[in-house]
Amino acid sequence: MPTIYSVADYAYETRLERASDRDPGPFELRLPTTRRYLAKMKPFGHAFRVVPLLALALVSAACGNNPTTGASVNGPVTLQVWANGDEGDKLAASQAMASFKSQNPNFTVQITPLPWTTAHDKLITSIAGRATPDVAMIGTTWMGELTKLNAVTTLPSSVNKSDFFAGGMDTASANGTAYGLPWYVETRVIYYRKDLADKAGVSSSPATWDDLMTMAQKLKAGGSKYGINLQTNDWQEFIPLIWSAGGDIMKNGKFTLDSPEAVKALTFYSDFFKKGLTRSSQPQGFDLIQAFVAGDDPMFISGPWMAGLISKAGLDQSKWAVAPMPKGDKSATSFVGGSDWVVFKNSKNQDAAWKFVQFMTSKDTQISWYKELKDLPSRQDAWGDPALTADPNLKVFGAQLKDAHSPPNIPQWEEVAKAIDDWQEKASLNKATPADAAKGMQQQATQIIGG
Amino acid sequence: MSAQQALVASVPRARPAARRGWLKEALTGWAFSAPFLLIFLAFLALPILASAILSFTDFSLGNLVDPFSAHFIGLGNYARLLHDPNFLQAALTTTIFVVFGTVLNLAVGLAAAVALNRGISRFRAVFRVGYYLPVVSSIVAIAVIWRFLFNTDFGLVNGLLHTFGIAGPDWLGNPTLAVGIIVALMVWRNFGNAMIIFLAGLQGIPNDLYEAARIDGANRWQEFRSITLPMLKPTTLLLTVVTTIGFLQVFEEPFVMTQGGPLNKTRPISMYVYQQGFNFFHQGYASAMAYTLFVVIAAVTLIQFRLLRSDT
Repeated sequence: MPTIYSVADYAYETRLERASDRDPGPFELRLPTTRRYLAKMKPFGHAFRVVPLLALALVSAACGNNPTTGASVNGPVTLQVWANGDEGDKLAASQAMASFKSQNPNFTVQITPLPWTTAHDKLITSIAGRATPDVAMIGTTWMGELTKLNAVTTLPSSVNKSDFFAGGMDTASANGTAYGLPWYVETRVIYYRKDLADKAGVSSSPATWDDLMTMAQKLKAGGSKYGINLQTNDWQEFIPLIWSAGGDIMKNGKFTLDSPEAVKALTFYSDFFKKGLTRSSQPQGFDLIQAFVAGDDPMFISGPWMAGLISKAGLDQSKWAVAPMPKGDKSATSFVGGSDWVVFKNSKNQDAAWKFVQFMTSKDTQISWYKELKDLPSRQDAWGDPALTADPNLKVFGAQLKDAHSPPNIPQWEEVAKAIDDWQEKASLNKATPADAAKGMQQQATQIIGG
Repeated sequence: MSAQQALVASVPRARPAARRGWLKEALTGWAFSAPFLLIFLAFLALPILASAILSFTDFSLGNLVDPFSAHFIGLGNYARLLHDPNFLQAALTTTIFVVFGTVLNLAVGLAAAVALNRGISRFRAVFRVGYYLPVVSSIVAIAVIWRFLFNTDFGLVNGLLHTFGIAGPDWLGNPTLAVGIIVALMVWRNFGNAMIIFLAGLQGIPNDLYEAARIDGANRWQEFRSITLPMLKPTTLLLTVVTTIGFLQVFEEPFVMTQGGPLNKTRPISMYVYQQGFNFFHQGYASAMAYTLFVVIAAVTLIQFRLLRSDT
């Protein structure tokens, strides 16, 4: 029965529990692509909540706004910057900001740190209320919405897009136009227990899909509870398989989720569940790191933030390793996430704002930022720095980044993702054949974008 | 002049003073109620009205910046509801929650009330507080704890089962079990309310009736069937109405326990409204759903009140 409780309590509790979720630790909430989780945390179930937003929009519409031309970057400039998560918290006092200020004494940068849990809502509300900052850091799946709302400026032509990883650049683009710059990137690779694999008679990391399946089987036969850890409903784990099989999510504005490649990917993915090689459900609060350290779940697919957590949990570096995604019919593609910078159309200082963004995404800043927070640089040339080349795990991530895609930047992506999740779950739990599930995804996704 | 005439004659003279007093009183009254009224109008009445209008439009993400670019589509949203398998599943889930939740809630509440009223006398206050405690606790905290209790690997429930050599099931991973656990949580949390109201009802039953029954040789069960239950009918009907309305809007329990999964089998309408409105920003569609739920609640309540009125 609904009772009155404090919204703050709710947000706090949910955040706590989310922080201990699948990818636990401080980096969990940095995952921009977990927006759908964040969105789920909003406490009200009533559509009535729409209206304050609407009222806000009306009021601010009445007040009017004045999109302006770029101000001179030479005079004194004040920039409003919204940044999220750990990065937002640390930005103001960082080495990078210090050198930006010394190079640009005429700039005053006001940084507003936002938690990932509220950043998306606040940004959308600020657009509705025409109270956007000059610059904001965004999650990699938000660009479709922002361009649909006509809120962000296009990338100046002076920026050389090929300096950046293509996968990262894609997340900052929509409909083939770049609107932002990737700040840091992350991609998913395979983590596995080397010691257990050796014991089970697997001497090398899995090169192909078949290898991955065999390895999971051998690990399970070798005494682990499961062979690998996969989620019944996580599009981020599933869609890279479609790319690897040679398929695509969208082609020429139409979904291709029921292509033979997609069916093949779904068959492969759901086989792990049918063969009992992975858990049939992951209760909330399930601690993957503990299960990995204990050897119950000796393999999983995740991003760079897990390496530190495994070490912190006390597992010796010699007992585990990372490996690139295994090759499907066509490629060994992974998922790319991270975060991007955008400049808003309402900004009065667009030129200055882009200057700031270009500084934040420059080679030197990215290297200092890696040293500070272990964020992976989105620029290819930054990876040659000794700070990065020294870490053997990073080589795997660096190589994987060259073959990593992001989902199409359409405004309805979150909804499509939920549909993919739903059907993926049906296939994993054997409630639908992979072919039917693929058809279901395709149909629902097409309906969502109104095709 | 009779006393009455004198009174009538005195009225016009008294009126200006009275009016002034009335005006002052009215102003004071309005001044005191103004803060509430303003907040009510701005944050409740206006939103309710606006979402009614929204429910006839295709308002979605793109309209956030320019609300007036949304189009009126008449009953389009309502028609779409009938063909949305997700909505139909949510409606089914809500129905299961309401039917099982309400029946069990009343049954457990009544059992506890009768036990407290007649059987247990020594620690009555302790039990009364104990049973009522979940009602006043934070639902989120409770749901989080329940989630841990039913955790497949580390949960207390499966731990206990394990000591008896039983391999515990994947409670929240199995759709049927997950629905059952959420109903159990809803009942456990809310039956204290029913208990308190039943207790009040029980204490209103005259003792003479039981004495007379005992003289006639009735046993406990016959007393319960022929005296307690009929005398509690108004209380029962009241509780049915209140509990049904509450459970039709259930949100927090499944939201925290399962987030609607597995297979969306534990996602009630209110959660689907929320997802459509605030995850996907289809606020027109979400408003239509909210209003459909409102109409269902109004209809169910009306039917129950009819029953209440005719039978008592």
